[in-house]
Amino acid sequence: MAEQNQENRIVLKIEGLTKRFGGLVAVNELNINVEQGNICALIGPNGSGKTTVLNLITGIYPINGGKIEFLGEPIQGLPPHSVCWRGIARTFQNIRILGSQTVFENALLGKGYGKGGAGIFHTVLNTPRYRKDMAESTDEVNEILEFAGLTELRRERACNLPYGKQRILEIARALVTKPKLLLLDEPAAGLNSQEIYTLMELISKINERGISILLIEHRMEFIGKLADWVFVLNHGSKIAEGTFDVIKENPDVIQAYLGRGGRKLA
Amino acid sequence: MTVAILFQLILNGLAMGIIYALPALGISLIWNASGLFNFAQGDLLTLGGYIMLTVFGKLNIPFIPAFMITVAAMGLLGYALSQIYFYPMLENKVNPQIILIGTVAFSVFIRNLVLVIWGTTPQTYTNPFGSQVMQIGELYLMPHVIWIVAIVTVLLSLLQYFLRSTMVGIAMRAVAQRQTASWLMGIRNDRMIALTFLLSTSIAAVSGVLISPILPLTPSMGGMIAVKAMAAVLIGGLGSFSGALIGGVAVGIAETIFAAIVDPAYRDIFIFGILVLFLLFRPGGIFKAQVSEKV
Amino acid sequence: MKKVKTLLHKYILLVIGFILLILPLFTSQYEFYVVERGVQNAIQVLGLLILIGYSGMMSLGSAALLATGSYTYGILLVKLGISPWLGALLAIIITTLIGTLLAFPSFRLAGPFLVVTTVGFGEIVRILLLNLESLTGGAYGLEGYENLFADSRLVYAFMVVTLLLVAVGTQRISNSKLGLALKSIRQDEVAAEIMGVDVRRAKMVSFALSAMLAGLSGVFLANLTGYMSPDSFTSAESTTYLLMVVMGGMNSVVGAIISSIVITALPEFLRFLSSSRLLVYSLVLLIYLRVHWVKSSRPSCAGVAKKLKINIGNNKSGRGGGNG
Repeated sequence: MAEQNQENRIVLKIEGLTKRFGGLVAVNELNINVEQGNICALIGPNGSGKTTVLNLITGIYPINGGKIEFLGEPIQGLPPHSVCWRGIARTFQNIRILGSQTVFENALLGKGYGKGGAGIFHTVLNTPRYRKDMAESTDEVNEILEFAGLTELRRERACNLPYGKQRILEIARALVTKPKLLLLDEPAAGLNSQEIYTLMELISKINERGISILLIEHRMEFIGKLADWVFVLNHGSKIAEGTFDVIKENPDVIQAYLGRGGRKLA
Repeated sequence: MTVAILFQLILNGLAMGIIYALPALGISLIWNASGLFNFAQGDLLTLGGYIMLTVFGKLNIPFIPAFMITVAAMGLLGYALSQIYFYPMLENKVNPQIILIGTVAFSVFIRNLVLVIWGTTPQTYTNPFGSQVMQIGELYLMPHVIWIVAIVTVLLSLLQYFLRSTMVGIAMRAVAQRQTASWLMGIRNDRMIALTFLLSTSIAAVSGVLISPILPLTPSMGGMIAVKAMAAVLIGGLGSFSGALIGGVAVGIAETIFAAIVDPAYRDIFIFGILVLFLLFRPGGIFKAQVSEKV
Repeated sequence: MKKVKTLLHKYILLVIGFILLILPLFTSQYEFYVVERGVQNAIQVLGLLILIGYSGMMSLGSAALLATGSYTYGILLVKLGISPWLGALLAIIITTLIGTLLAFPSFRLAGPFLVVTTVGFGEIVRILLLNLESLTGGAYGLEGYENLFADSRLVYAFMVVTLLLVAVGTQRISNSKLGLALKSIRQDEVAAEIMGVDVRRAKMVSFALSAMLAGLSGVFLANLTGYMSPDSFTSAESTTYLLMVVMGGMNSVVGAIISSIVITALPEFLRFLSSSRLLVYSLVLLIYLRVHWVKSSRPSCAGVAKKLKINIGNNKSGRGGGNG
């Protein structure tokens, strides 16, 4: 019974995940479990395959072996939009928002296309059903923009936003998809310390909404404050996992980061 | 069908295929250097043909100097085109779709310029290779078929040598692979891309001159050839030197044989059928160029 | 604010519609034909606006789809003798189906690969029109079918009303989730997929809508000319349609309509243009692209990843740039 309970609490379960690019093994026999409500971090030196893992989870690349289960159901082989519809949203290392669309439109994109709602005939005929659907979507998007502190900027073209706001916008867009699991690929990259502080607050607030988070990050203080659980990748394999305090003392991890004879992390 | 006829068809197809291969190569070179797909390649060929018509056919300058004048003029045009028009767009990172539309506009512009200057009546000049049919065993051949194959073989070997072994050629290939890195190494991207355009329009000029014994000159001639050249470059593998050649020759031979034994009216449909099969089952073409996008 | 803007848009469309409807009162027979062609082209261009402008999928097969619409209508009426209205309906349905098939290559191909596919489609249709003589009449063309209305002014009025309805529909699509999905495909297909946009489905809808409008426009063309031949559907026509959608700003319904009508009518009113129409048009397009796009890459957007630099400057032309 206890075990059953344990299983239910796991949102994302990755088993033996393997990905090869030509002769290069980018991800090797990787096992990862993300528990409900946790903030997990995926760390590792450059080129250790962290972003590839996110690309595999979200279905951008096909996998070569292993299993990816989300809420107890296999999701490997699904196209990215289906993965999104099941409740996994992500952001990108290099921000990928639509520069010539407004902030509101960017966020609205998170409502996706093709998963029900009013179809094309309703759209063209502007039926009550379409208007209701659009009004509901607008309310949801506005609520999330409010939550992310972007309300004032909603009519601004996204490319005119400062870098930090673009990152927040990308996260807000991911939230509009109503995810159960949020994947963040180096959310703090390129931000100044004030922006990082805002970002950390936002991530905590998102987590309080019951959304589990798996993030890739290089900044150790960021991970130390936020992450409940840390996975360390090197050359596509997991070399350690645990709480940050345990991980940072782990000699394998220190060696992977700093080479032989390296000092402690953080 | 006897073996001799088949052999003859293959030879004729080879001559036609080389004419397709040259613009295909031009498209591939520019694609490699700048990521730009030049829809105007066929019409540049037309323009080359018509310049030759004026220089050789009307001004009566001997064949070899006339050939060189035509190629030089077209080369200069290509250089200028890149420096004035396409490089600024590439440098400003204009959406590829817009640049694509630009090359389509160039194609229409050149075609109609030729139409306004030289008129629509099909024109031709004396076949410089002679029009005496040669008989070799059971084969009947026009001399230009052999000349086309010979001239193009020499030119391609020179081009291959230039790209592989000279400093400029190596620099051009460096730009094709990593623009920023090569810029840091002190290579001027704008010049290298302009040189690629120069090469590619010169190649267009050569094919425009060589085609005249096979087809009379018309303003829309290049458009028809371009359609095949584009099919050839995608079948062979966009961005690959050998791909453009093999693709062009394959298209030339396939359509000649198809026209002879099935129906000439539907040969273009046949070629596009092959292209669609390739696009569906081997999108990179025969010589698949490895392109990976960082997500 | 948004409501005012929407109202303004509706208002502009009504003004255009009104002008178009009273225009025949002031024009000669020939000028009337030119205006008719302008309206018919505008319907076609609105389809291309969805495909090229919103979704960013370049097509040079638009004349072939127009031909599919025209010829299906003509063949059904001449060979099977069915009524014009049923013929028109079937022509639009068949064109839509064929156009939707063109979406399949777009699942795997982009940019030049896709364009070459559409060029190939155009060639195939042209060859079939020329060679299936028993059906299409070959190079001699096809004639002797009935029109939707016996009175050509009624056909025109019906066409103008149709254009307005199509314009309103296109505008609504532009503002909808579908429109946003299409625009996201143009700007960043991967990000769109990740955000839950069913990209394949959106592409199919885009191709289908564009083909549907091409079929509609083709039926009207058949009604205007009373005769069809392969010469009316060359690749030069596809390029002209491309020009119309680009000069219309690629983002604006009103711009596309004005640009279509102006570009159709211009050679008739500037006589020197008529012999070298395409020469001048392509030159204008070349200059427009060079000046508009190179200048307008403003530094404020320069830091954004290059994939995003797509539509910069279109707010300028969004209000109708039919300055051809």
